[in-house]
Amino acid sequence: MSARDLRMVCWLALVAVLATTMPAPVHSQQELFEQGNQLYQQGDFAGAVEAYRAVRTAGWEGADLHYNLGNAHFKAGELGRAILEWERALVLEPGHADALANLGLARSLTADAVEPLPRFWLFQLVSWWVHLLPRSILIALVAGAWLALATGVVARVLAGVTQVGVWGGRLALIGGAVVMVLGVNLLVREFGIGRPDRAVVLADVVSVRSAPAADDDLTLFEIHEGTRVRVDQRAGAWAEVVLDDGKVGWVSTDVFEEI
Amino acid sequence: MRSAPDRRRSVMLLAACVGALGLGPTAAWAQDVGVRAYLSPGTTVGVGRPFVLNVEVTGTQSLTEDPELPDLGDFAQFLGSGRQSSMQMVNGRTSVSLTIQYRFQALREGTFEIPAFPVRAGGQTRRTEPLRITVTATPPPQGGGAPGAAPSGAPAVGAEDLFVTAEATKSRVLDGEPLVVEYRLWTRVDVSSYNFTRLPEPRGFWAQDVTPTGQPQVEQLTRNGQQYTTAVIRRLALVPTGAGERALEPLGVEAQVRVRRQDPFRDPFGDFFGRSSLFGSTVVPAAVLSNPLTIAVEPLPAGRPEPFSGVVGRLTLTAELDRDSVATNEAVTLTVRARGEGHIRGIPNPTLGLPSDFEVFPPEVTESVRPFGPGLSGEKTFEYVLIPRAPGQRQIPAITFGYYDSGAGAYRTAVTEPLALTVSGTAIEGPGRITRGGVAQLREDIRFIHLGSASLRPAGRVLFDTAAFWIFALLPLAGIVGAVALRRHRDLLEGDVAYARGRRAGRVARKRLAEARKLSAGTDVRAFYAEVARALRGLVADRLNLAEAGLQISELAARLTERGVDAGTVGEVRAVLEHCDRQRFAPPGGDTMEKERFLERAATLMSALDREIKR
Repeated sequence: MSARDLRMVCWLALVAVLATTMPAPVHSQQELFEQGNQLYQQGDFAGAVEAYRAVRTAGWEGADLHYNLGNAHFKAGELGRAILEWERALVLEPGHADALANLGLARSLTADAVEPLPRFWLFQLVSWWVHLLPRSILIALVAGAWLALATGVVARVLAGVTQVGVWGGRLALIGGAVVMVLGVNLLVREFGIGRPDRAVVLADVVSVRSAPAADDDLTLFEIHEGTRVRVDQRAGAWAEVVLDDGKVGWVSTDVFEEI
Repeated sequence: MRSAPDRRRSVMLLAACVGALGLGPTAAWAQDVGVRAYLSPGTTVGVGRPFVLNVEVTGTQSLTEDPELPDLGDFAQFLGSGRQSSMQMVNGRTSVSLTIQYRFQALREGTFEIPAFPVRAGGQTRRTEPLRITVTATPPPQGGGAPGAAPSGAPAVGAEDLFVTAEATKSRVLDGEPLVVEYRLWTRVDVSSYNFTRLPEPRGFWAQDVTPTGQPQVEQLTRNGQQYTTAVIRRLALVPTGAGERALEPLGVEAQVRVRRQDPFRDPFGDFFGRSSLFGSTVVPAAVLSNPLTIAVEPLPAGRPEPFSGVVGRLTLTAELDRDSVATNEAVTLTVRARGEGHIRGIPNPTLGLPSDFEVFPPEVTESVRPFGPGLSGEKTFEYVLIPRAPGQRQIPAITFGYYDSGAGAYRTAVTEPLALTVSGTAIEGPGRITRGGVAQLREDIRFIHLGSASLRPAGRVLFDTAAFWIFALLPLAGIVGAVALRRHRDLLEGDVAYARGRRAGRVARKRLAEARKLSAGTDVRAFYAEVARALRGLVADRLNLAEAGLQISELAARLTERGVDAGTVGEVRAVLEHCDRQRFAPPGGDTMEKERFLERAATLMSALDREIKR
C-alpha cells in the first residue's frame, strides 16, 4: 500500500465515522437547559425540574445539568432526589465543588447520620490519584502525550541518528510514559472500573431486612430518604445494600435509585 | 414538749411486746378513721415562741397524701415537721394512730383562727375542727401550765433565758447614708447550735451582709442586771434607697438548747428513747424572734451638685495615668480612684469629658467595702484604657463628683487634678476603629445553580465510543506508518548498492568456498580452482564495489593497494589467483590433499582481506 493510498483510506474513515456518530442537535438542548435555569430563577422549581429532565430524557448528560437538577429538586423539597442528582454530577466530575458543598448541607438534613468506615490508605491513595484531574484536563494531557509520542517516533524515523532524531526519541519516550500512566487513569475513569454500584434511598422510611422477603420480623434496621447505599447483589425485586458504616441488609429495589 | 411522744412510743413498744406474746391474735384491725387537730403546748403562745399543730389520725397509719395545711404565714413561721405512729392494745383490741407534728413560730400578736382542713387517710377523707390560737406579748407561764402540752418532763426555755435583739447604729438616717444593723443572740442556757428560720428582706434598702466570717465571737455581757453569754449572729450594712419610714421585720432563730433533766427517774424509758439524755441532759429546740426595727429615712436637702455620686459621708477622688507620654494609637491606662465613707459601691462610672480623638473602652471596676464605725467605708477604682488617635499635647480634664458631707451637713464636690498627656507620632487614619472579625454565617443554603450553557454529552457514552477519539488515536499511528514508508522510499532512491554488497560480501564468499570444498573431493580440478578463484574475486569485488566480470588480476591488486591493504596480502591474492588460473589447464584427478591445503590457504587469505578492507 503506498502512502497515498493510506492517506486516502484515512480520510474516508474519518468522514464515515463523523457521519455515523454525529450527535443529535445540541443547541435545542442548550435552550431547554437555559429555560430550566430561568424557571429556577423565577422560583418555579417544579418547572425547572421538568426542563432539566427533558434534556436528560433526550439522551444528554453533564455535571452542570445534574447539579442544577439537584438544586431544583432540593428547592422543591425532594431531598432524596437532590442528593441523587448531586451524586450523579460528582460521578461525571468528581471535583465539582458546588455539588460537594450542597451535598454536605443536604446530608446534614437527612435523618440517618451514617459514620463511614475508615478505608485502607492505599485504596484511598489510588482513589485520590484516579480522581485527581478533571476529565477534560486528563483527556487533554493524554492526547497531548499521544501526539508527542507520535511526533517523536516520526522524527526519529525520518531524521535517523541526527540531533533532531535523538530529541525525537526522547520526546517519544516521555510521551509514551505519560500515555501509559494517564491513559490507565482515563480508562479506569471512563469505564468506571472499581466504582461500586451506588444508590440513594428515595422512600421516606425503608425497613432493611435480613433476607429478601417482605416479612416484618426480618427487619434489621430502618433507613430514611437521602441515605446513600452500595448495591451488592440483586434477587428479583430485592437488592442487598451496604451502608457506608458497613451495615448490610435487603431492601425492595423500588425504594432507591441508582446513581 | 418532748416527753409526750416518748411516752407514747414506750407504750407502743409495750403493746407490741404483748402482741408478740400471742395475746392478741384475734385483734380486730378494721377501725374507723378519725382525725383530730390540736395545738401544743396550748392555745396561747408568746410572740416569737414556738407552737405545734398536731394532726392525729386514728384507725390507720397510712396517709393517702400529706394533709394540706391552711396558710398560717400571716402570723406564724413554719419551722419543720415530724411524725409519730403508735399501736395500742387494750383487752384484745388494737388501735393504731399516726400523729404529724408541724412546728411553727408565732410572729404577731392577736387571736387567729386556724380553719378546718381535710385529711385523706386510709382511703377516707376527714375534716379537722377549726382551732383558735392567741398570740400574746408576754408568754403564758412555762413549765407545765398550758393545757394539752406535754407534762414537764423536761424544762422549757424561758423568754428571759434566750432572746435575739436587733440594733441599728442609727435610727434616723439621710437618704443614701449607710447604717449597720446588728442581730445579737443573748442566752443564759447552753446553746449547742442555731439556725435562721426567718431572714427578712430589708425593703427599701440596699443591703450587704457584713457578718464576720467564721464562728461568732462569744462575749459575756450584762443586760437588765443579768449576766448573759452573747454573740453577734448577723450584721447587715444597709443603705436606704428612698426617704420614708422603713420597718425591718424581725429575724427568726431556732436554737438547740441543752438542758438538764429535772427528774431523770420519772420516765425510765426516756433515757433510752429520748433524743439525747446522756448525763441527764437533753436537747430542746427553742425558737425566738428578734425585735422589729423602724428606721426613719430623711431626704437629702435640695441643691445637690451634679454629677452626684450618691455618697453621704466623705469622698476623695484621685486620677492618674500609667505614663505621661504615649505614641499615637497606643493604649494608656487612666485610673480613677474614689475613696471615702458612705455608699462607695453605689458611685456611678465617672464621665471623663475627653477630647474626641481619644478612644475610650468601658472601664474595669474594682471595689472593696467594709463597715466603718456607724456606716461603711471603702474604695472604688475605675480603670479606663484610652487610645489617642492624634498626636499633640493633650489634657485629660478634671473629674468631679458631688457628695453630701454628713459631718458638716452640706454638699461638697470631690475633684481630681487635670492630667497632661504627650501623644507622639503621626495621625493614622488607620483601621483602628474598624473591628475585624470572621465573616459570620447568618443562614445556610445550597449554592446557586450554574447559569449559562452546560457542557452536555450523550448520556452513557464513554470517551472510547466517540469517533473523535479514534480519529485522534489513529491519525498519529498513520503518521508513523507514513514516516516509515517515506524512509524506505528514500533509502531505495539513494540506492546504496556498495553498502549492500559490502554487507553481503562475506556471506557470498563463504558460500562459494563451501561449494569449492564439495568439489575438492571430486575429480574436476578445473571446476574446483575456478570456484575458489570466483570466491576470492567476488569477495574483493563486492567489498570494493567493482564489477566482477573481466576483473584483471593486476587491476584488482592495484585497487587493493589503493584501499591500503597490506602489500603481503596483496601479493598472496595475486599468487592464489594466478595459481588458480594455472590449474585450470591441469589434467583431471590431482592430489586431494593439495586441494585441501589450497582451500585452507584461500580461507585464511579471505579472512585477512575481510579484516584489512574493513579497517
